[in-house]
Amino acid sequence: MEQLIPIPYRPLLAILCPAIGSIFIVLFGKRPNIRESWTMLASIAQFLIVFSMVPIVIGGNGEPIKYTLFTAFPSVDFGFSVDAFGLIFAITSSFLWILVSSYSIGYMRSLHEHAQTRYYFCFCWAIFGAVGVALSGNLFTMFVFYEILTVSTYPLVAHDQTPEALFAGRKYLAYLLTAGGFFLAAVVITYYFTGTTDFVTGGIPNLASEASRTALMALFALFLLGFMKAAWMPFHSWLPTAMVAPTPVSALLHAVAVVKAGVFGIVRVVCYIYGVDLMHGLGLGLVLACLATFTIIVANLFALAQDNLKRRLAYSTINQLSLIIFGVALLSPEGIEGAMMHIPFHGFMKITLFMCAGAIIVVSGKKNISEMAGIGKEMPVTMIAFTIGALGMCALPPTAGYITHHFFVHGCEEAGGTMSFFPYVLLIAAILDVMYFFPIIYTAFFAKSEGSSGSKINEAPLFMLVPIAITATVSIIFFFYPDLFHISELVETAVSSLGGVHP
Amino acid sequence: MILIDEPLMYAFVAFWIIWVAVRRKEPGRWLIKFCEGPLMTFARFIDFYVMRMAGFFVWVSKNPMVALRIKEKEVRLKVEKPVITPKKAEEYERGLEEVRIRYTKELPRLSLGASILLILLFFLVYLAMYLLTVH
Repeated sequence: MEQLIPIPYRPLLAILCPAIGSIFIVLFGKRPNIRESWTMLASIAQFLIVFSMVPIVIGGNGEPIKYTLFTAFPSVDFGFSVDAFGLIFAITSSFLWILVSSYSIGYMRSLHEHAQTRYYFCFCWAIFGAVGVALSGNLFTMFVFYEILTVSTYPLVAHDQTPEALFAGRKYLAYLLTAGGFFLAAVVITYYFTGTTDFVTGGIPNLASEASRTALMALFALFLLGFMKAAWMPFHSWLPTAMVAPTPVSALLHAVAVVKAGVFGIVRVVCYIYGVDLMHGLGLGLVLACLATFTIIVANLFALAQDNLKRRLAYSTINQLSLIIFGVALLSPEGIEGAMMHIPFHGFMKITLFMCAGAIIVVSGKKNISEMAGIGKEMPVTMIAFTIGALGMCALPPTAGYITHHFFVHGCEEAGGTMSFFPYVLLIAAILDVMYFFPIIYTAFFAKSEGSSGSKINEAPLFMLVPIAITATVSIIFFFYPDLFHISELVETAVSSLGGVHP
Repeated sequence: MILIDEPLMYAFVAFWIIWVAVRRKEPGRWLIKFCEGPLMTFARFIDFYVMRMAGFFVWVSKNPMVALRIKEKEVRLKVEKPVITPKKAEEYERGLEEVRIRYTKELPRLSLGASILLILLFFLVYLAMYLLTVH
C-alpha cells in the first residue's frame, strides 16, 4: 500500500474518493447499476485508504500524518492532520457509508424514489464534508468542511420536495448556517488571540495567556453555538424536523456524520483548543456537564411523547450526543475515553435502529409505533436487530452501549467533587431509555394487531437486510471485543497523547 | 465489574417487564402525558423564537445597512414615544414606514452567473495577493 499511495497523500485521497465518485455518479446517472457501483466503489476505496492510516498513527505513538494544501493566511494552513481521534470518526463514517450505500440501493429502488442521481451525488459530498471534518488539521479547514457538510445535506433533507420537506430543509439551513456564523466568529477570535487555529494536543499553549477569563468563556460559548450540529438543547429542533428525509439520510447523516461532526467539534475544542487544564481552570467542565445533563433528560422526556418512530429515534440521538458531550465535560481520562468511544459505538447502534425503521417503512409503510403491533412476527430479523440497537441505547449488555456507560460512570468517579453525583443522572437517563424503547419491542413482538390489512408482510430486500444484520452484529461484537477496527487502541492513543488530563 | 447503578437498572427493567406482563399497559402513563402536553408546548415555544432569530439573520443579510437603520428607528420610536407629542410620534412612524418600503425595493438581486463571477473575482484577488506576498 505504501508504494501505491505515499503516506502524506493518503488524507487527501481519502477525502477525494467521494468527490471523484460523485463525478462518475452524475456521468452514469441514466444507468442505475453503474451509478450505484460507483457509490459502492468510492465508499470501499475511502474506507481502505482511511483504515490504511491506522497502523501509521498507532505506530507513531499518536504522531499525526500531516498534509498541507496551501497557506490561507499567515500561520493558517488549509490542510489535514490525521490523528487517532480524527481516525475514529473517519473510520466510523467511511465504514458505515459502505453499508448505507447498499441499504440505499434497496430503499430507493423499493420506494421508486425520484432524483436518485441527485441523492447519490449529494450523499458523496456529505461524506466528503464529514471525513474532511474528521481529518482537518485546524479550525479553519474544519470550518470549510463543516459548511460543505451543511450545504450538501440540504438537498437530501428536502429530497421529497413536499411542502413539509422544503420547510424542514429551510429550518435545517436556518439553524446550521446560523451556527456556521458563530463558528466562524469563534475561529476568527481564536486566531486573533493566538495567531493560530491549529489543533494542539493539550490545547493551544498561549490561549490562556493572551485572553482574559471572561473572553475565554465568551469564546467557548461562541464555539458551543457554532456546534449546533451536536443538537444540544434548546437548539435541537432541526434534527427531529429533518427526519422527513429518506431513511438512509436519517441513518448515516443524522445519526452518524452530521450530528457527530458537531460533537466531534466540541471534543476537538475541549481537548485540542482549550485543553483539559484550561477547561478545568475556567470551570467550564461543570457548565458543559450541566448543559449535557439537561439535554439528556429533556430529550428523553420528549422521546417519550413521540409516536412516530423516526422522531423518537431522533430524540434518542439528541440524548446520546449529549452523553458524548457529557463524557468529555468530565475532563477525566475515562470520561474522555468513553466520549471518544461512544462516537463509533453509538453510530453502529443508532444506524441499526434507523435502518430497521426504514425497512419497516419500505415493507409496510408504517411510520408510527402504535401501528406496529405484531410486526416482530412478520419481520423477525429486522426487529431482533432493532432490539439489539435498543438494548445498546439503554446501556444494557451484551451491547456496545454497556461498555461506554461504564466509562462514563468511572469517569464521574475519577473526576470527583460535584461530578460524583452524575452517575445517578446517567441511571435516570438509562431508565427513561427503557421507558421509550421497551414499548416498541413489546408492541412489535407481543401486542396483537387490530384487524389485518390482508397483505402478508415479509422482510425487507437483502440489500437492506444485510447491512442491518452487520451493524447489529458489530454492536454486539464491540461488547466482547471493543478493539474491532482498532477503536479502543485509537482511543487510548488519543487520550494518552492529550496530557494534563485530570484524574 | 458491577457498578452501583447496575443493580438498580436491572431492577427497573425487571419491574417494567413484570408490570407490563401483569397489567398489560406501560408504567408511568402520567409521565408520558406530561411529556406530550406541557413539555411539547415548551419545545414549540423555544423553536418559535429560534426560528425567529434565524429569520432575523436572513432578513438582515439581505440588506444589512437598511436593516440596521430600520432597527435603529424602531428602537428610537419605542424609547422616545412616551415623551414626545403624538404628532411627532406619527412623524417617526411615517419615517420608519418609508425606510421599510425602501428596504424591500432596495433588495440586491444577483443572477446565478453574476454571483459565480463575483466569487471567481474574489478568488482571483485572493490569488493575486497570495502570489504577491509569496514573491
